[in-house]
Amino acid sequence: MTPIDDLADVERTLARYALLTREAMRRYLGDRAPARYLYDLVRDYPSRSGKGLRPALLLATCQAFGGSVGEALGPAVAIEFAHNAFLVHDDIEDGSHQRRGHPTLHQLHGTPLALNAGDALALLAWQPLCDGTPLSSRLSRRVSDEFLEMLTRTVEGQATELGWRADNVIELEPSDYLALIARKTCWYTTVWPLRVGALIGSADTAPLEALTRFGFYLGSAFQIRDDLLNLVGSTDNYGKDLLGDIKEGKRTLMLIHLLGAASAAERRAVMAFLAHAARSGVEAGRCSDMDAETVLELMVHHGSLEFAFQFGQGIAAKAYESFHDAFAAVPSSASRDFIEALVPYMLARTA
Amino acid sequence: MSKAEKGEGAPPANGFEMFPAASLDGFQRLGVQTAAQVIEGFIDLLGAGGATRSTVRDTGPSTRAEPEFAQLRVDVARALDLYGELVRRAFEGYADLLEQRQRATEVQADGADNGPLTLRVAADGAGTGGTVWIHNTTDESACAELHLTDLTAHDGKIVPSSTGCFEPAALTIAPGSSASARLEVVVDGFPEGIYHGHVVAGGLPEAALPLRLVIGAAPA
Repeated sequence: MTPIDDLADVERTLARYALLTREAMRRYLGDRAPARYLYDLVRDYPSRSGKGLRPALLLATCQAFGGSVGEALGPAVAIEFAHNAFLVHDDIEDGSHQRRGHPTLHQLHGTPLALNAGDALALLAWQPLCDGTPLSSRLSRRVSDEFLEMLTRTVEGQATELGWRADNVIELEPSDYLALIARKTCWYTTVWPLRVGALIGSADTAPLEALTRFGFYLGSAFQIRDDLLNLVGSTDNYGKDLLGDIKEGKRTLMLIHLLGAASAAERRAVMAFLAHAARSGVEAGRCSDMDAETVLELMVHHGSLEFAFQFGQGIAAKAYESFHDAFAAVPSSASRDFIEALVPYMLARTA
Repeated sequence: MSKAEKGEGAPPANGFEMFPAASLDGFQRLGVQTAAQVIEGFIDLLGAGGATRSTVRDTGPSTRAEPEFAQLRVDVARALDLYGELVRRAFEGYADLLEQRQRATEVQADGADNGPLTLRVAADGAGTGGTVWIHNTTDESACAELHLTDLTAHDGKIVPSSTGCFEPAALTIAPGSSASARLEVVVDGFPEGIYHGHVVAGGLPEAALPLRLVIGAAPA
């Protein structure tokens, strides 16, 4: 592995790990039947070119802590299957039209079949953890326990977000947003891969608390960047519905800031828009008096995007500091450099 | 104040121009403070958790082990895992063997082909016969006095037990060995059909051999 010098290097390393993971996933998907109504759908999202951030972080952490790719490949496949299961269900819940530059699964095949394919992906995620792996029984059990905890936290976070939208909850602070994404995003995107990578690589001798802290900061920086890209990213790179978060009424940092900074009249209009979004999902932009573009203009006008960007930069700085704390006892290596480089990558990525 | 906030962070090894930490402004500071508050709450929750609680206590970076010792600790943990796994598998293999042996220590009866006994005779035949085996896999010798039950067809017709006789009529089987007896059945005058019954062994309540008697051109 070459030293990590710039964002392109990060993406090349991500691509290498993603390739390893996809090849391992293929072994689980194979030529299973029924293809037409299930496994063709199950294979769809994993075959689209995602970044593969989660398995890459897990594999690199395992290597940095002295383990091998082979030991951590099963859990890496598990998290990628789980991620794809979440995406299928998220797209249905949000009524999204695009995923990784193509129509969403439920747009292609209808909600019932897509929902079932999402269930299948969630079940498949357990298979690499149950199979005979190179891990000892003790480590396998620890990894499975961590997996169950992570899934639980993630669905709790998702439920909170959906509930806020359904009840049109307005009185929110940035701390509420961070508590939400700590559950909804950080657990499965960064905390679990870091914890499990270190657990396997160190044969459960590494202290996990500092890694967990690093994972939360890194995951928060990742999600804030993702939310910003949804508003200002390019359609070609982003691959999802631009402004989708506004149309769906997602309680992002920018929206929370806008609700605090807007005039009384603007706030009332935004609240009405959100109430409409809660009923109509992504169709809200077409039906409400205020459209998503107007909400974005208000965000720009009131500095909500700049606020979120700076807020995220502060968190990324903290992530960088917590990386050095968590990896203080880890010898220098290409894997360690790659993980370190993920911090600025989270802020600079465009897709 | 953190190292990042004071600008004391070491230059990044990866070559990126990382954040000018000393110049964190209001929103950045707010981000750091808010995140720290929320994240420490989650860390506390995890610390109180069960299955996912870290097995290793973190004493902080200043007192953390040197990399050489950390590596030694990993190597020892891996070796212990390996030996633990070997011991577990060896125990499971031994336990399986013991269970198999326990299951096998009994006295069983079977036919010449290690299964139920089938005797065939033509419709105008006078009699038929076969071999009955008794296997003793216990540590003690066993005695068996052999009997034939009535044989019954699907329509209720019976070939009575008195039509069969064993030679010898009783067997003594040494520990860990087998013994056989010849069964002869006289069927002269009984109607065609398939009759079912058992060979039982007096003194061995668990030993019973299913017997199928086919008279005439019944299906094989």
